[in-house]
Amino acid sequence: MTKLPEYYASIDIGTQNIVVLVGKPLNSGKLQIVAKSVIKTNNNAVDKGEIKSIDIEKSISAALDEIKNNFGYVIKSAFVGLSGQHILCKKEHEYIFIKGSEGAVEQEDLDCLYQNAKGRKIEPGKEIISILPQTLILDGEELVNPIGMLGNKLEGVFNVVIGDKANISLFSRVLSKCNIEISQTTLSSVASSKAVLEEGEAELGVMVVDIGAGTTDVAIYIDNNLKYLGVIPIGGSGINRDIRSIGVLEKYIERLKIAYGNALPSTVDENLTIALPSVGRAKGKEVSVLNISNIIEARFIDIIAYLVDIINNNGVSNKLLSGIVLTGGVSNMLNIESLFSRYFSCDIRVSTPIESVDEISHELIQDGKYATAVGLLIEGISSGKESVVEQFIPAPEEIPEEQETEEEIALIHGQGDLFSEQDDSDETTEDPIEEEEEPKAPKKSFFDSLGSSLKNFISKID
Amino acid sequence: MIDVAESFVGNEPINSNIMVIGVGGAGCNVVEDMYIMGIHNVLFMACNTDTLALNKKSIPLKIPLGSTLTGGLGAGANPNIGRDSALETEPFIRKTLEDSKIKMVFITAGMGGGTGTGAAPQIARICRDMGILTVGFVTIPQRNEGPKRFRVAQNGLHEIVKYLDAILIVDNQSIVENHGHLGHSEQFKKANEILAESAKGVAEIITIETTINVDFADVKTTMKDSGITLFGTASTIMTPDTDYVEVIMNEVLRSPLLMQTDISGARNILLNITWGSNEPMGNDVNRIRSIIQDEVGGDSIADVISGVGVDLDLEDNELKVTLVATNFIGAKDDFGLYTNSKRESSNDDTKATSDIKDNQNRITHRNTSNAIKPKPYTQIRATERITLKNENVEYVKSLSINDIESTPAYKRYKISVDHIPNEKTKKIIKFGDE
Repeated sequence: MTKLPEYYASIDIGTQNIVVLVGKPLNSGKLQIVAKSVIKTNNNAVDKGEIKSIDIEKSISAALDEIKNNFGYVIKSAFVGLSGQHILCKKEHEYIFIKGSEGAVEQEDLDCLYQNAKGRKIEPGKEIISILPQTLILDGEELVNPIGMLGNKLEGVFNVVIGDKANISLFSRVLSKCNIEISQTTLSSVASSKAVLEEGEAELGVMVVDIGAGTTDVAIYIDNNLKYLGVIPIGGSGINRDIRSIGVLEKYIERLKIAYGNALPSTVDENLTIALPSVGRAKGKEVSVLNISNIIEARFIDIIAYLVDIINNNGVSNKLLSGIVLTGGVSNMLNIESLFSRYFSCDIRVSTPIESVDEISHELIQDGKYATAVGLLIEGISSGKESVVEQFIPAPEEIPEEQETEEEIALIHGQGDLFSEQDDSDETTEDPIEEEEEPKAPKKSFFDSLGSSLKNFISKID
Repeated sequence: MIDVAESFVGNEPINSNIMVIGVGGAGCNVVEDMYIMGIHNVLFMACNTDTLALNKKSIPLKIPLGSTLTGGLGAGANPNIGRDSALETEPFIRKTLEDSKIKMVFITAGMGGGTGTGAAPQIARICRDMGILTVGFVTIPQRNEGPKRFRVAQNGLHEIVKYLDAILIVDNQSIVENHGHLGHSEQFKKANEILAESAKGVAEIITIETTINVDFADVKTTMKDSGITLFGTASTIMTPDTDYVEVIMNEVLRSPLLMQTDISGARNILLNITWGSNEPMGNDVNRIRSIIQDEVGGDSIADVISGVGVDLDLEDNELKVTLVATNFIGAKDDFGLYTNSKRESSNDDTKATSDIKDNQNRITHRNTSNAIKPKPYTQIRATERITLKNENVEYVKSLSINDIESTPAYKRYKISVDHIPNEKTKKIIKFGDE
C-alpha cells in the first residue's frame, strides 16, 4: 500500500454519530473532502461526549471500513476531536514579582507567569489541556503588552481548560484498538470554530456554539484570541427524550423532529396534527406539531440559560460584535436563529463548514454536524502535523486467501489419502493473480475434489 | 453590580419596522441575496411551499406554506395551490407580522410559477389588511418560457396589484436582452441582484440617516396606493475631470427598473442623494434636482421629496443617486398588466384609506370582524419567557445534570404540551413507517 502525501484524515467521536473525513488541502487554501463516513454510535457507548463503553470500537471500525470499501482509503493515523462533559474551564489568578533589570517587565517574566499557570496544582486524575490568557495586570493596571513597562507585581488572569485524565487516555486506547494512531487531539469547540468562522469574526468577538446530540461545545474568541472554552452537558438528545415523554415511539422521534421540528412555536400551525401509525394492539397516536415545537423550545431555553451564564461570567456581553455562530447537527432546526435572537441582543448566524471547503465537497458536508470533523482537518493541517492515509488497492486480500487455504487444509486433513495426488491447491497459493480471478475458488475445488475422490473411491472398489 | 442579563437580554434585538418577505423559489432567492448583501435595520422572512428549498436558505425566519396541503413538496407550478397554501398558513403570517410590529413590507416574488403567483397576492392582502405599507417587487418571465407561463404571470400581477400600495416590475426579458453576454445562470443572478439592489435602495432611504432626512412618513406619502412604481439608482466616483452629474443621471434614468420608459407624469418623486466622506459641490446637487424636475415635466406639480447626506457605506469619492417615481398621471401600461379599472378600484381604496385616522379605524374594524382570536397559549407563555433573568439562569445552573436529564424541560418551565387541535379545523398529516 502506498501512502498518499497530501491526504489527511479526521475522526470526530460524537454522542450520536462518528464522523470520519478524508481531505486534502488545495492551492486556493480551501479543503477538498474526498471521503466521508457517518456511523451511528451504539446505544450509550458515548454519553455526553464521553466514551462509556468499549462498544464504540465497533462503530469506529465500521466507519473506517466504509471509508476503505466505498472510497478506497486506509487511515493509519488521524486528527481526533476531544469533547465531553468532563472538560471544564476555570478562571485562575496567578502573579509574580518582576525580577527584570531596573524593574521593567521582560519576556522572561511573562514566560515565568505562564509557566506558573501551567504548573498549578489541580485535582488528582485531571490534567490541564490548555491555558488561555485573559488579561494581564501590572500593578493594578490592565495592559495588553506589558513588556518594557515599569512595575512591581505582574498578575495574570487565565482560563484553564481541565479534562479528565482517564477519559482522555480512553480516546487513544479505543483508537489504537482500531489501529489508528492519533496525530493530534484538538478540542471539538476549537475545531468547530476553525471550520465555521469567517474572516474577521474572531477579531471582532464571536461565540461559537456547536450544538450536538449530547453536548454543546462553546468557544469565545475576542481579538483573535480564544477567551473561553466550555462544554455544556445538554444537547439535542434531550429533545428526543422529551418527545418520548409524551408517548412517541423511539423509531419515529428523529424523523418527526427533522420533518416537523420548529424552534419557534408561534410560527407553527396549531391545527397541524401528525397521525402516527398504530403499533401492535395500541391505537395510532395523534401528536400536535405545536406540542413538539413547545418541547423543542423548552430544551433550547436550557442551553440559552447556560450561554447567558457563560457570557455574564466572562464579562463579554458587549464584546461579541460578530455575535453568536450556531453550528452542529442540531442547528438545522427550523427558526432556531429567530429563537436565539429573542434572548440575545447580538447577531445570530447558523453556519455549516461549507465556506472552508471547495465547491465539489459542498454536497458532502452541507450540515453543521460536520463542523468539528472539518475543523479538525484544518487545525491539523495548519499545525503541520502528519496524518497517514494510504491508498487501498482492492487486489489480493490477505484474509480471504488465508481462509481458502485453511479450508483446503481441512479438506486435505479430512480426506487425506483419498486425493493426495492433487496439486491444485499449491498452485493457487503460489500465484495470487490467478487467485484474484477466481474468487469462488474454494467451492469449486471442493466439488472438484469431491468428484475426483468419488472417482477414486469407485475405482478402488472396482 | 450592573444587571448584565437585563442589558444583554432583550426580545427586540433589531429595532426595525421594515421587513422583506420572499415568496416562492424566485422570491426566496432574492431575499437570500439581500440577506447576504446585508441591509441596515431590515428584517427578512422567507415563505415557500417547498420546505427543502426553504431549509437551505440562511435567512433566520422561515415560514413553510401549506404544509398540510402540499406536504412541503412545492406547489407544482399551480397558482391555485400556491394561493390555498398561503390561506392555510395565514394566521401564522399575521402573528409573525404582528409580533414584530412591522410598518412596511417589501414582497419579492417571481410571477409565472405556483407559489410566487398564487401565494404572494394573498400575503400582500394580509399585509395591507393589517395597515402595513406594502410594496411589491415582482419579476415576469421571459417570453420564450411559453405563452401560458406569461399569462399565468399576468393573472398573478392583476391579482397582486389589487393589494399592493406600490409595485415594481422587473422584466426578465429585458434583463436577458441587456445582459446577453452573460451565462444563463448569471442572467438570473443579475435579475436577482437588480431586485435585491432596488429593495435595498428603497429600504435604506428610510433606514440610513442623512442630514436632510427622508423618513418613513415621506416614503409612505410617496408610495401609499401609488400603483406602478419606477425606480432607478446609480453611483459613480466623483473625479474633477469628468462631468459626473451627467454620467450618474444618465445611468439613473436608464436603470433597468425604469423599464425603458421615462418618468414624465409622475406625481410623487422620492430622490435621495448620498455620498461618502467627500462632499460634492452644492451646485451639483441642485443640478441633479433640476434634471429630475425637467424629466418629470417642467411645469408639473410633482411632489419631489429629496434627502441629502452622508452614507458611510459609500467610498470616499462616491456619489449615489436613488430615484423612486410613483403615482403616474394615466397608467403606465407597458405590458398590458395594469388596466384602468384596476387602477380606479385601487384609487377608490385610496380615498377610504389614505387618511391615517381612517386607517386606524380600518384596523380596529378588522380586529372585531376578522375573527383572529388571540391564542391563549401564547399569552400565558409570553409572560414566562423572553426575559431570561438572572434568577432563571441561576435556576438552570443549580440543576444537576441528572435533573436536566430526567425531567423534561417543558415540565420544568411549566410549558403546556397538551394542546389538542380543534376537531373541526385540525389537519392531519399521515406519518407512516419508512
